[in-house]
Amino acid sequence: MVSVRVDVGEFSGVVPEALAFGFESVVADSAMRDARLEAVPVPVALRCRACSAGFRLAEPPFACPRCGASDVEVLGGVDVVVRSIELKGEGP
Amino acid sequence: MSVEESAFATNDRIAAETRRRLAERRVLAVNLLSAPGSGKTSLLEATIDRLRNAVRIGVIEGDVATTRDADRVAAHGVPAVQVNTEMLSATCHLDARMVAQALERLPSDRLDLLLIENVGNLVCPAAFDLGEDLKVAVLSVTEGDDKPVKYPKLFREAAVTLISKMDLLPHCGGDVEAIVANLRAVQPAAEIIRTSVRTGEGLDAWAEWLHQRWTAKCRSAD
Repeated sequence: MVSVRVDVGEFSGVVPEALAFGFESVVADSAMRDARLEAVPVPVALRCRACSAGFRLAEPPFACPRCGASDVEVLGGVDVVVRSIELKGEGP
Repeated sequence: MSVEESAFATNDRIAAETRRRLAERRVLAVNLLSAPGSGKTSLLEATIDRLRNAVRIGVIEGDVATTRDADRVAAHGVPAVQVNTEMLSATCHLDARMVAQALERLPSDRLDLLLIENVGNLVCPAAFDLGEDLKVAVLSVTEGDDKPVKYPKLFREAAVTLISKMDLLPHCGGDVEAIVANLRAVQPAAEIIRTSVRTGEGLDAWAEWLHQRWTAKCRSAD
């Protein structure tokens, strides 16, 4: 039994459900057929360069909800990161 | 076991190596991104005609099939490589490995400007670093004014957006001010140049902008 944990940034261009669907197709009919993918969405995290407020963004505009400044920095939710792989039970 | 590695790690390593090699040779690499049919290839042709005598240009063309774009560009007297061999067919974006391989087929030690025309697509191409210095987005006035907010990643990362096919504006009911406002919503600092390959609008300004970026890269390498 193998399980893979992947963090999927909402600003990465990768859709967790589509990634999981692709993973299932790849492992099917292979020695990895029981493997599971846990794709965890990571929200887009931003910080305002004007007032330093941290905030999340669901859709544009890219603007600070506190002071309205548009000079904001994207801190997270951009990458796709394989966090861990868990192996259980006997090997093949 | 803990892994903690980006799924893009291999791509990003290759991109970093490409970036290092291009910096060594003082080549400015530009990644052109847009939807299919926005006029990237026509803009490339117009760009080449304006800059050919000032800088040595090479082109990498990405498409799902045919060498039409590479043929069109090569007709303007610059080396062009098409990325869509049978092995890579049906790709919806370029990745760093494809570009590194294509670069092997160009005389990169005798180039100043590398123009990479990505596959027409507003989604996947935005996710892959190719080793370019800057991304350029092209958005034609006929595509719909709200494309920047619908595909924010691509337009946010573009150093400049070319609003193309300006000559069609009176015929398609597009609102260029709305396009600009939507571009600013995703990238407030966005540089925007309005262009038309039919009337020539904005093409000199765009060529000048690009040439300045190349000059700046050379200067910073000195």
